[in-house]
Amino acid sequence: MKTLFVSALFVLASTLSLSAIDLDEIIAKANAARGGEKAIKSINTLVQEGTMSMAQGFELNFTQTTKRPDKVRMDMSFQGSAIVQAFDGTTAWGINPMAGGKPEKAGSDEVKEMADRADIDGELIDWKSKGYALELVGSEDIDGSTAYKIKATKSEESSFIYIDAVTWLLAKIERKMSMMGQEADVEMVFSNYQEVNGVQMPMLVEMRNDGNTMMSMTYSSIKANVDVPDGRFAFPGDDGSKK
Amino acid sequence: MRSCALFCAAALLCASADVLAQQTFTTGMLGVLRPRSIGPATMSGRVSDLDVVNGKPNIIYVGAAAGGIWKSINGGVSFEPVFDDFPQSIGTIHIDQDHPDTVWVGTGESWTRNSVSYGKGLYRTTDAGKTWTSAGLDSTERISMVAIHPRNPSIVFVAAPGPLFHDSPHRGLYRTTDFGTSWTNVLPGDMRTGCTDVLIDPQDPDRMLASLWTFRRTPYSFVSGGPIGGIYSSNDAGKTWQKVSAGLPTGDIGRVALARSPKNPNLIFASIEAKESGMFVSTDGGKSWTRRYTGSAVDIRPFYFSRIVCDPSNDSILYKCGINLYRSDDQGNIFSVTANSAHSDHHAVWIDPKNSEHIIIGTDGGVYESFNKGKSVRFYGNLPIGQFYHVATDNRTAFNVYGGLQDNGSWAGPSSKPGGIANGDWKFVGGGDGFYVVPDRGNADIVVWESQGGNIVRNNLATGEEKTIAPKPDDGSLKLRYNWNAPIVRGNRAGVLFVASQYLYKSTNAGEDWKRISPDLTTNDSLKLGQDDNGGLTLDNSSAENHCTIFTISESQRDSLVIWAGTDDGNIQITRDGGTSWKNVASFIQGVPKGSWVTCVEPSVYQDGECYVTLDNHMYGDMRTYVAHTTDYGATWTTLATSAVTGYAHVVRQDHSNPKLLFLGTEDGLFLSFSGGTSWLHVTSSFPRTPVRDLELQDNQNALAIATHGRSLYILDNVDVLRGIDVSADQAPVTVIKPKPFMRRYANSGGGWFGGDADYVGQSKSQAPLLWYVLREKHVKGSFVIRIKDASGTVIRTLPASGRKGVNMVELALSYQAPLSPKSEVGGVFGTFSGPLLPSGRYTVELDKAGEIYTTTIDVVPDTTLGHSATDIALQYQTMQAMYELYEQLAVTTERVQVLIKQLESTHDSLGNTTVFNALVELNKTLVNTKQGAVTGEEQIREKLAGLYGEVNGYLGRPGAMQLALLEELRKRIMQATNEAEKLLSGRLTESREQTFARLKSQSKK
Repeated sequence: MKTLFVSALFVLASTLSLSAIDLDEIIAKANAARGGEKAIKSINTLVQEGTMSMAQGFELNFTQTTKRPDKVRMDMSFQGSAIVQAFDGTTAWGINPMAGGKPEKAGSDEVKEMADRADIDGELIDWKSKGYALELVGSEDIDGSTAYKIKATKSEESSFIYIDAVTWLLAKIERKMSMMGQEADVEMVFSNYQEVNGVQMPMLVEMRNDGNTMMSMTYSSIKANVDVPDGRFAFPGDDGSKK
Repeated sequence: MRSCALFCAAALLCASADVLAQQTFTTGMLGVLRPRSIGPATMSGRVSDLDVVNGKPNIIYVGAAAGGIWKSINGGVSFEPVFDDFPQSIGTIHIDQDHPDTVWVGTGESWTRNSVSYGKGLYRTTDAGKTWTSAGLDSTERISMVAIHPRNPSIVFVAAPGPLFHDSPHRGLYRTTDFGTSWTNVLPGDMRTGCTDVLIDPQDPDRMLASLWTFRRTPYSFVSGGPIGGIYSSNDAGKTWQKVSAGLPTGDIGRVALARSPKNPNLIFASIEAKESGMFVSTDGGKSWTRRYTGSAVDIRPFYFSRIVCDPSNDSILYKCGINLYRSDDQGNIFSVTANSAHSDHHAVWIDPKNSEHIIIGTDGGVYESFNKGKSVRFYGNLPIGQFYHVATDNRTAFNVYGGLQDNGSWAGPSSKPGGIANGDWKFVGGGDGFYVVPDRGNADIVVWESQGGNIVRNNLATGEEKTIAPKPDDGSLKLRYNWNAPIVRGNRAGVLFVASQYLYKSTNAGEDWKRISPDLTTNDSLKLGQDDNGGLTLDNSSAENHCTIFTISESQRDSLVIWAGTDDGNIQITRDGGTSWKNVASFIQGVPKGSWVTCVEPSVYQDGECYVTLDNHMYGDMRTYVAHTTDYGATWTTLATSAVTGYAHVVRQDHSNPKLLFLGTEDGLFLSFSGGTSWLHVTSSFPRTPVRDLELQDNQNALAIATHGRSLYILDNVDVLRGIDVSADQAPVTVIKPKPFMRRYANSGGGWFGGDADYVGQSKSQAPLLWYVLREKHVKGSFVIRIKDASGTVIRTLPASGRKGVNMVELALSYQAPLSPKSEVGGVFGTFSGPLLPSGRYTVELDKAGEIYTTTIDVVPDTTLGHSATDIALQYQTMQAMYELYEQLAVTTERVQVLIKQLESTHDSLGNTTVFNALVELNKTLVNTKQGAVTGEEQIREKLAGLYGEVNGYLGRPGAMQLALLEELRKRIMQATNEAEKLLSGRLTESREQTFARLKSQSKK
């Protein structure tokens, strides 16, 4: 009985705190829960290895390399061939073995997509200078846990960022994604957090559409501040290298 | 004092305990265990309003009668629902055309037919539908029009006809001057009279016109018209109003539609329901009026068709919505039918201000678009907003579903189909308004269906022949009283059917012959039988108000002599002797108003005398949910609806395996109870708050078919998982539900043939083997994986586990990992994406939640329906194993050759060892493709073997003799190449073959 009563008070208290909080406080708590801005900004490069799991047991290994401020490269091995997607801060390019395996520059959709991926800090750090307008629009249940819903708008495009109300960790991002010339609504759900260099990192990212998991990205290893030359992100030839 | 304090504390604790008990399992915890939408959008459904951004006609908002708001940003090629968390009955959509990201939505449809739903006030978005805010007026139930001040978007007028079934002050013309924060009712009408239309003069916004309408519906009548109704004008921005009479009909006035010509603001049209209805025109801004057109465009059902739309760029042209869409090209003198190939019953028109030829129209059967003012129209096949009344299923393995819709006939279609359920998969059964459509339990090609008022027909879907089988009067009268939505119910045995008017009829030969097995089971109240004079000003006798009829029937599955019947006027009748004697037990239910419509009777399969019923009193203005339960043939009852349940009740079903598991459909959506009705969950995740009218459990497939009256049909698969959920507070941290045996079969990907994006595709059931588990808490930190192990304990696969609080589902990959692939720098290869399917046997499934291990097993068994012999299945598996191994050998050889080539290159030894280097390069060219190319690239041994691998892997029976012969040839060549390679590598590569293999394997597991 006593525990019930205490639990009831706790429920009541958490309900109250839900209504009292404002956007700045949520952002501060979310950034602190990740490890703090200082720790996050001390990460200059990230090398993330893992597996993408899709329907019918289909798997793809990948290595994602990110370098501040705006570079990212994804290497995947697929049926004996290399798939590459990369962005050097200006040019997005890729290698697709099913399309001949030659490096090709990518269009504006991919540039936007890759520029988003290259941001180690995420939308909640330096959001004003990055051109985001953030707005707290409510709270929602995400996988059984209440999360604050923040609308992030940049260049007339909006995404929704969900911050867990208990752990303050990023629970979900909902946004439109342009792929292969088509637009899709994508939910990215983050879990299995582990600490890397003092920063909480999700080791599992589920890509969902309408709540159904279409693909999971499981990270087996995340290393911070590995030395990565800029040339690794450049379109082959643009930096004088072969490939 | 002390006892009071104790009592209060106890009460608080009890209340807390109740709250906590309900909170132990919440709707969100159902996770992906939720209904899937199967469409159809083939016939779409009633559209109550639509609006389009002027100047950007690719942005379209469609409002459904009870299916929410759908937005297109691509000119109607595709739509997505943007209002699912809010009331689904839409009265009006109004885009602020000067600020098109601002859209006002009045909920509650104002086309007040018998089955109309209700709303909860006004909503507003300022970000083009991404987020919505309630803007008040939540007691109005129905809103028909919004008008925005032309110079100040914070001033908005809202016309609310108001509640349909009861007296209410919450109706009239409301004004806000602060963007919806506060409202004043500036033209209140009276307790039965609300406002339908409002116009603001764009040149002088102080000048306004509005129309008032008196209306009322009961279960057995509809009345339109009254002395207050008519057109009112204001010259002071709505502060004071005067009734307009110059040139207008005298006496009672019914529903009035108003429209102003955007081009010529003094030109105003009014379609007026009166003793003599007509189209009236004012050329002086509404001061005086002239009657112009009289006829069918304005005469028929004004309560349902009262919308006029003026062409923004041509003041001669206006459209009038009606049974047809009518257009006048001469300012309302003559109206001609247009859009003749669109569905009848029009409710909304948008005219492109930049192109008069381009119109978009909303009807009872969805949205159409025309580029020649309606001469030819295009149907939008992507709006699954059908209003099903009932649903039934057959017993086929991939079962079919059957149902009928408001104004959209009777249909049958698949419950699931590889690649999704397309519009073309639905088979038309019969026309009119559709309701019950039931396949015979013995032969599902024999389908009995009906149109409104008891026109009951039997079709043979195989031959296409149909026969009208409705029972005829045998009581000396000429007419039976059939409900608008008369029951057609199957008995336990094939061929047994029950249908009812005021009498109950039984057939044992699929409706060939009928026997009347009851007296009049209704109240036969003469006060409720005046349908011949129904409608008020305009006669309306469509059978929609037929009353004192039997509405629901069910034969007990435990005892065919026990039959329950519920009537629309409040009787619950039961016979225990097959119809010889009947007893009305309705009066024994406490707490349900007398005369409430009995919407469903559901005898239990567990206990004689047990039955659940739902009752609905909304047509007397009472929206409460009534669910009652008896275990003694109706002598005593318990009512079950808690405060967690909302909306008047349509249907209740008790699960056939877990007596505590109940499903309830109300006007507010779907609810379920794990506790026999003491607590309920509102199923809201990915399921809109659309009315749920009927539910049917399909036992063979553990499915629940859901008929919504606004969003077509849904299916909840895996009801067996629901049965296994422990909702108690002391549930285990992880509950793993033992997976069903997996029948060895590849998922059929199905799919259409590049059909584009314009047609709705219903979701299909997953064909993959599924693992379900329930977590007490959300998994946030640390790893969480699922391992599949064979009998020896070897890990075959490691899969990511999802960590939702509540129900989780993971598709188990019951195949080996894809083999190592020989590498090529120039292109990919097809065929070896996955390893062979696991052979039959028992496998361990292990959940590793940050070190805590939970296990279950899954049996992999042959799928006997595929018709393969055990020998053939074994041969296929052995062949796959052989190819898998061979392909990996090739991968090792290729890797070793390529490593040495690179080594020689990097140490410049290639110059000193030209012969060896060249031989390796030449050898590599025979192993994998090295010439640039994509899908059209070169094929070497790798590509040939991968192709053969894919062919054999895709078929679980005997591989072809020529396939096996080719395999031997490839094996020979790979052996030769390997021998040749190893000779060249000998002494030059330090890594052994085994070491190369181990390195590649470890690289493949990240």
